[in-house]
Amino acid sequence: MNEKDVALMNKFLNEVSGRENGHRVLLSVKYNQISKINLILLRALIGEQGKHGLFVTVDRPHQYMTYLLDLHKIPRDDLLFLDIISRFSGESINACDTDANTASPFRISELLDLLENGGGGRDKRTARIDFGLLDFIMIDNLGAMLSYNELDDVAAFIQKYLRLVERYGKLFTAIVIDVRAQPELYRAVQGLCQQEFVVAEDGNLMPLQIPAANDLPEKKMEEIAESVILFTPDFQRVGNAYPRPTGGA
Amino acid sequence: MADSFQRVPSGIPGLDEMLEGGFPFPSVILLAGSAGTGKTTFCQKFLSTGADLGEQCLYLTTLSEPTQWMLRFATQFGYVNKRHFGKEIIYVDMGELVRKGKPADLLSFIDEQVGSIMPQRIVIDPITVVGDFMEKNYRSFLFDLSNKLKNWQAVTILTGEVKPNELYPAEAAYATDGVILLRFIEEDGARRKYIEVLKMRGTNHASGRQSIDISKQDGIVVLKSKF
Repeated sequence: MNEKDVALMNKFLNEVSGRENGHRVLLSVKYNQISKINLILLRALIGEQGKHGLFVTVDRPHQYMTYLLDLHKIPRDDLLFLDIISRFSGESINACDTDANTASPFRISELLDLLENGGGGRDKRTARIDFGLLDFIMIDNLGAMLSYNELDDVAAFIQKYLRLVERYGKLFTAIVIDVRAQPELYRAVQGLCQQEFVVAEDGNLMPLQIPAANDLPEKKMEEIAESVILFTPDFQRVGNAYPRPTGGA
Repeated sequence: MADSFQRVPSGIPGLDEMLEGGFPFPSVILLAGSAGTGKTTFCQKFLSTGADLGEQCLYLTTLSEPTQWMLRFATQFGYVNKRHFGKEIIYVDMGELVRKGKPADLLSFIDEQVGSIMPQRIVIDPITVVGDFMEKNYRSFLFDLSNKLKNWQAVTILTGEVKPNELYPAEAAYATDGVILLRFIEEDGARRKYIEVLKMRGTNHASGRQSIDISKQDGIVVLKSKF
C-alpha cells in the first residue's frame, strides 16, 4: 500500500467520520481497482477503527484477501469471511485458510435470508450470523454477481442488503462498483446510500456526479420480483472467525 | 444474463478493434513469437498504457537480463514515460528462482510480488524459459499460475518464445485465456510482420492475420487500423 493509498484511506475516514452507524456509502471505482480499494477500506475499518465485520467474497476465493491482509499487516481476527465462490475456483480452501463458509454464487437473492435466519432446520450445518454483533459488511464485489445472476436478481439482492444494513442500526457498509462500466448496477443502488463518491484515477476521493444518470431508462425497483426459490443451504462454519460480542444490538 | 466482462485497452493501435474493445478483465494472455517479432515491445506498450491510465504495472523477467539494458532499449520508444519506472511500472527479476525449477517457490514468489504491488497489469517475459527448468511440472504450474493471476484481478501477458517454424508453445496456450501470435512471413523476398489473434475467450475476435509495423513513436501498430 503506497502513500496514495494511505491518503485515500485517510480521506475516506474523514468523510465518514462520525457517521459509521447505519451508514451506507457508495464508492465508484474503476473495475480493475475494486480489489485494491476493498483492501484500503478494510484497513480503514479494521486497522484504523478496530471494527468487526463480515466480508463476502463473490469474485475470487477469500484466501486472496486474507493473504493481502496478512501481507499488509492488517489484523483479521475479527473479520468473518463468507466465501461463496471457492468451490468453483479450482483452488483448495484448506491451502490458505480455515475461516471459510462455502455456498453457491447462484440465486444470490436468497443469501441474506439464509444468513439471517439460518438453515431453518433444513441443514444443521447452516451458519446463522448475528448481524447485531457486526460493525460492517462488505461485498467483493457486486459487479461479479452479474456473472452468475440476472440483473433483476442482483438488484433485488442489493435492495434487501441495504434494508438489512439500515435495520440493524449500527451496521456500516461501503458499496463498491464501477458506475461508468456498470450503470445498471448504479441504477439499483441510486438514492439508497447517504454518501456517493468516486475514486478518481489519481487516487482522489470526490463526490459522485453523474449528469447523465437521469437520462437512463428508469427501473422501478419495487416492481422487481423477489423470487422465493428454495435454497439448499450449504454453509459450513469452520474455524473461529465470528466476531466477538461487543455489547450487541 | 447481463454481460459483466470489462475490457482493458491493450495500448496497441488497431488491436482493440480486433478484440471487441480490449483484453477481458481479468485474463491471462499468451503472446507468442520468434525472436525479433516485437514481443517485448508489445509488452512495454501494454504496461506504459496502463501506467498512463493511473494503473499499477508489474514486469517479471525470467531471463535475468539486466533491467538496465532492457530499460535502455525501451526508452528509445516515444511512448515510454521514464517517470513511470520504479513507480507505476515495477521491474522484478526472478531469473535466479526460475533456474531452481521449483513450482511452489516460484508461485509463492509471484504471490508475494503481486500481493505487495497490487498491479492491474502484469507481464511475465518469457514464460517458456520456466518450462526449460521445470520439465514435468510445467503444465500444472501453468494452470496454477493462470488461475492465480486471474484471481489477483489483473490482465497478464505471458510471452512465449517459439522457433521460426513453430506457431505457439502448446502447454502455455492451453492454460491461457487468449493467444496472440506475432509472426514473420516471407513474401516476395521480404520478411513482413503480422499479428493474429488465435484465441480470446469470451470475445468475438477478428480472425486472420493483420500486417503490423513497429515504429519508434508508437511501438507496434496494426496497419489495417490506418485505413
